[in-house]
Amino acid sequence: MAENVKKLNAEKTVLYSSAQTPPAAPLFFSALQHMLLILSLGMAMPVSIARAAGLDVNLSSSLLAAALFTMGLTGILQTLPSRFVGSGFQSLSVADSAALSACILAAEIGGVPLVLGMTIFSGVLRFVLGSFTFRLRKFFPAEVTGTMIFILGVNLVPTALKNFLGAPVGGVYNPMHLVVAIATLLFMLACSLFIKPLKPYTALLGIAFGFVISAVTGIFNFASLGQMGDQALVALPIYADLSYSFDLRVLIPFVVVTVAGIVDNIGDFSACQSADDPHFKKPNWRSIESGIRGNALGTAVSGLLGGPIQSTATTNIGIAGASGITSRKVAYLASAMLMIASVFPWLTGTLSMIPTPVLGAVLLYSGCYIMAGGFSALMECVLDDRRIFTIFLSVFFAISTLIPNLYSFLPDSVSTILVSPMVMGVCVLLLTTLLSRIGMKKVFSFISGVSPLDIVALNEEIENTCRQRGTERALMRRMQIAIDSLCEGIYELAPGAQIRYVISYDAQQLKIHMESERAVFKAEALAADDALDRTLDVSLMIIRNMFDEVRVKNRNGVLTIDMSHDL
Amino acid sequence: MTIEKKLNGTELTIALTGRMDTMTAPQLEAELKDCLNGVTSLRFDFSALDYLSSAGLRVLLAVQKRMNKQGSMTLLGVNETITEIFEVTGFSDILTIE
Repeated sequence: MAENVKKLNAEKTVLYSSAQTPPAAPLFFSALQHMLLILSLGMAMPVSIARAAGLDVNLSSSLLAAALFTMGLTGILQTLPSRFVGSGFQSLSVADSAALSACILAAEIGGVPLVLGMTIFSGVLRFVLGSFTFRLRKFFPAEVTGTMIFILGVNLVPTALKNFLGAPVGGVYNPMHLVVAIATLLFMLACSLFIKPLKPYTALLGIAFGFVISAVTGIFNFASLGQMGDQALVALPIYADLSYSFDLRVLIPFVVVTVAGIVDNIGDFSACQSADDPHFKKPNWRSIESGIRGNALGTAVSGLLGGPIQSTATTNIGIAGASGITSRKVAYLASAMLMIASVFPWLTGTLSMIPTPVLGAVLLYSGCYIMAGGFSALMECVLDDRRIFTIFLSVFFAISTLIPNLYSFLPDSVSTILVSPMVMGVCVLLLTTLLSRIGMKKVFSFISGVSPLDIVALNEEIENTCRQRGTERALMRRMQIAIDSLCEGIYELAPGAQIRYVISYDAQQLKIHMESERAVFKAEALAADDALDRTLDVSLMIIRNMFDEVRVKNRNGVLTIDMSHDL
Repeated sequence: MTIEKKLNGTELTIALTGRMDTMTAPQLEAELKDCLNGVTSLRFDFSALDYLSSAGLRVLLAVQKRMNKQGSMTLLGVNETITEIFEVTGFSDILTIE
């Protein structure tokens, strides 16, 4: 299994990671391909809202401009490498299509003012709830985040295949649609597999190639370009008739949409980290939490300016992973391009006309890399019975949402939210994770000295206890190395110390509590010593490397150390 | 723990046998105190070392810091158990292991 993970990771190459700056050409072309994808995928929702609210051409146009501008702004906020706002990873933003039904409901009840008011509410709520993400991380162990990333790929299946295969128009199916889609996909695969220097720009080249053969085969309608002439040349990217309202009747749909959006963000930001690190094992939750706050802030500002609820752009994460260019600078430039483009409606309209078979091919290509990211994270997990059910039940239910009418027994208000691979898959994932944790927690405690002989006896006791309980060897070794290390450090300063240990663990977390039975240290004994001259300093350095959280207290000579590690 | 030293010009090879823990690590520290003067390449042969504790890691860290100033330090023949200790504790990022 480990060898397979290594092989899979060896195929993942990061050319320019999140903190690096690519040279001008890769930077520009990467940003351009991301921007074109956002233009193609992000406009459906604002267009639908404008139609539902019955806006005229001018107001519709300003709503679309505000949507583009705020997508750019949110992309920058999500990507910032700040402790408080921004994930620090390349993450672009699009309008949240999962919020479409709630927004259309709001548009029908209270017009655009209610949509904007509820968008601001959603942003504020996402900010508040998202700020608890780090504390809730134990509900998202590696198999959950790995499966979530995989399901993000499944989530793209309906849109990708609808665009790729096409549909009959007026009862007639045009086979050239499929020809263009297959040719574009083959062209992209050739760029990616056989012409390595072109791999970072595969999506952009695929779009360009797709445009050409769409024009040759008549799939692209040049007459539609003429319609762009009706658009204004320059426009302010703010909705022209700003006002806000709030209505309790749409509160629940927006709360549900916000929670679903947070779950979506968790999967996407994990996927961003996976794309940036070929050795990704588990997500950085501080980064995810800050990223969600960036998205929330973007959504709130978006509501204020007349834009839609924002979501992380899943397709673009797949493209970033495929290209190997995961630099933050690409997200900044692509976002800036979107903000600039929002001022020129004619240009935006033209660029967003990627033919549907071409879009389908790009989505398929991107989806493969997203699924590979999830698959790679899952291969790091030991597939015990508990994990098999957790992972594959959720995949079953995620895929089940793609079967038409399977959930027709649900009320419309529930099915519009629940019946999507991501929401359904994650609900089942969290539910099975919680259920499978019942009775999993194991606790044992003992008291021992810290001398070399005590350490040997302690190791034997831990080994026997773990063997009786069927604990994984890697987990047992982590306990042994941490306790050995601290005992040695304490022995050097207080050879007669007696320590009480409480070890607890389940499938998600290992916790070790150590407390000296009486006062054993002088007050200054635990003062930071960067010289690492004492074994205890090295022991503390070691456990800080080994555990996610370490708390050391020396209260009147009584030493307490608490360590916790997410498994 | 037994310590065997072989000096070849400015290259010093030290072969360790047994366990390096609280009891034996100070022994290595004392041995190395004076014999590193003028050494530009220090090689530890761990092929017969069975166990390494944090007291041993502390000595390795101190020697690594010293050798960073005057040359290089390499660990050879590291067995699976000790490799696991280096990886879990994060020392594999600090030390040069061949």
